[in-house]
Amino acid sequence: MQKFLVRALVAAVLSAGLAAGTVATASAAPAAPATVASAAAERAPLAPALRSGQRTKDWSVPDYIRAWEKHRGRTMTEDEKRNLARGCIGVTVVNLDREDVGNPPLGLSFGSFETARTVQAALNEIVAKKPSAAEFKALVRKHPVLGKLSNVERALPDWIGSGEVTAAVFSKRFWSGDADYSPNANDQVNMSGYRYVPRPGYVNFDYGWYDESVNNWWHANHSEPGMHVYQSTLNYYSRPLQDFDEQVFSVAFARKY
Amino acid sequence: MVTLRGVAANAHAGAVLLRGEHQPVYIEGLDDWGDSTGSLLEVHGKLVEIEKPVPDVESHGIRGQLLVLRNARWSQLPTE
Repeated sequence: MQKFLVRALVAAVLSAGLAAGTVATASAAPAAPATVASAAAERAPLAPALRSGQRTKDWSVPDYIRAWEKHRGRTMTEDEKRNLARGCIGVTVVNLDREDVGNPPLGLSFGSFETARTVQAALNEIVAKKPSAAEFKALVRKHPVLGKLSNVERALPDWIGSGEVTAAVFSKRFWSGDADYSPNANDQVNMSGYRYVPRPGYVNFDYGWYDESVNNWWHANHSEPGMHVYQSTLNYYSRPLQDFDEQVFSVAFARKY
Repeated sequence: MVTLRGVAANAHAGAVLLRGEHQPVYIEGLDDWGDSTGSLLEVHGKLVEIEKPVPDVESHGIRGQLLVLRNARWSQLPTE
């Protein structure tokens, strides 16, 4: 059984106290908590959801860029194309659309998708009020879920207004190198010691960008040249592979569009 | 041409043959072992070393030297 499914069971128990009013489940595609819909979710999806029984779909990079541009209503910049060419990590970076981070922030990483969705919903409830930086910190401190977590107060970008961002979810699969990435009592995983070191002979990591409009995950085979983008179910993206022994589900602010 | 024995396993970059503590051997052209995953196999083919440069440490891919078996043919061995 994939580690994330085991953790989902644990998270379901933890969530009973952590996320009041949220029903956590142990399924691979859990029901989303009541969330403040992001702007992205209100648009037509970047691509139709996978058909029932379809596990993954292979996209060429030019086709993905065309779909991304149509979805966002703007062209992908040359800088974004250079980032996209980094492979799976590039897919997540261009979707975060952050000028202040080179790599996806891992400060809010969790052992289960359910917890990440709960945190995403809580953050979106707060930024919907368009708080100042100080107000954001105060709201986080007194929040029953967010107040128990680390790194939340520093998660809000300072170069853009809080009303211009939305909390998004992505996943990262990686090799632990025998370091301990066990979730704490709040299901949060400390990624501060992670240094992108691969298991020798294997792919270094796989990031998956969660597309909540179709409940699919966008990832890739590797960086250019020869890069392909994949649209997958959570189960397929998380399938057992020799490369990885850990998987986290992370929350970060993305620029609204 | 070489003949290798090992366990069929799946990696992000494709099907591999695991041989204890040795480096994994990638089976060229095979994405996944499917129902043979976990089986003990004898695999015959041409073993080559391929260098896989990655632009930087934070880009996605395999870094360094890979062992790849070309024109691979295999048969399942009885479980030991």
